[in-house]
Amino acid sequence: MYFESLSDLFTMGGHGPYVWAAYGIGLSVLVWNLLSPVLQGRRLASTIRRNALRDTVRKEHIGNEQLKSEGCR
Amino acid sequence: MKWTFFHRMSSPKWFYDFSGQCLPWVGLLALALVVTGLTWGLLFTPPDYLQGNSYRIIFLHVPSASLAMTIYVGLAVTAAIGFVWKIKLADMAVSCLAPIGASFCALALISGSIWGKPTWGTWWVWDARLTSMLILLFLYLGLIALREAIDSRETAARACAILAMVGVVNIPIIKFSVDWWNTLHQGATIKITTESSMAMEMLIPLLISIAGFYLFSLFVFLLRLRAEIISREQRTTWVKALLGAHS
Repeated sequence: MYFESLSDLFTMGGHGPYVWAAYGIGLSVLVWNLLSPVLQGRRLASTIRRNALRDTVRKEHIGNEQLKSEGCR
Repeated sequence: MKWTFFHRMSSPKWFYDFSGQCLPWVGLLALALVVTGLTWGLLFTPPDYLQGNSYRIIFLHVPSASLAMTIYVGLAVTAAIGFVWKIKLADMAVSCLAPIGASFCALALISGSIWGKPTWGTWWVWDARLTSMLILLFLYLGLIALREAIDSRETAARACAILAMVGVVNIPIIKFSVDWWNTLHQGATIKITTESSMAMEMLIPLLISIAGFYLFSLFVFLLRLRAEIISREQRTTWVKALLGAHS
C-alpha cells in the first residue's frame, strides 16, 4: 500500500474528503444499477404469477356458472 | 447464413436464454476487474506530483465518462436499427440503456465536480466539455421522460429512436470539445494513435478500471433487458412456463 498509516489513508494529505466522497457516490451508482433491475424483475415475476392465478380462478368460476345454468335448463 | 443469425438474435426468447448463459461469467469478471482497478488506484498508486491524492478520482471519473458516451452511441445505433427494421428487441435495449447511461453520465459530472474543487478551485465552470456533458445527461433524461409520456409502445419507440439519433450530434462535440475550444478541462490522457501522457503505474489500474466498468454495464444491461423481455412478453406461453405461472 502506498499510504503509511490508516489515518494517512483517510486524510490523503487534505484530499481525503473529496476522494472518499467521490468513491462513495461511485459505489452507490454501481449498487443502484445492480439493485434496480433485480428488484424490478422480482416485482414483475410476482405480478405475472398473481395475474395467472387470478385468471385461473376466474376461468373456473365462469365454468361453474355455465354448468349451473346448463343444469337449470 | 448471417441473416438467419441476425433474425434469431432479435428473438426475445433466444436472447433471454443466451444472455442467461453469459450472465454469471460477465458478472464475475466485472466484479474482479472493478475491485482490482479501484483498490489499486485508491491504495497502491503513488500520488500525482502536481495534484496530490485528488487525482485518484480519475479511476472513477474516466471510466464513467467514457461509458456515458459509449452507451449513448450504442443506444443510438440500436435505436436506428430498431427504427429501420422495426425490431422489438432493439427498442427494449434502447429503453434499458438510457437509465444506465444516465447514471454513469451523472457520476462523471459529480466525480468531475468533486475533483474540480481541489484542483481547479471551483465545483463547476461553463466550459465546453462540462456543458456538453451536461447536455448528454439531459438527452438521457429526455429519452426516459419521452418514453414515459407516450402510452402507445410503437409511437414511443419511434419518438425515442428519433431523439436518440438526433442527439448523437452531441457526442463528437463532447469528444473534441477539449481540442476545439480553450477549456479548463484537460485534453485526452489515453490516446490510441500516440503514446498516452500517463505513467504506466497509473495507466494500468486505470485501464483495468475502464474494462471493469464496461463489463459491469454490460452485466447490468443484460439484467435490465431480461426483466424488460419478461415484462413485454408476459402474455406468451414461454414466459408463463418459465415463471411457473399456468393459466
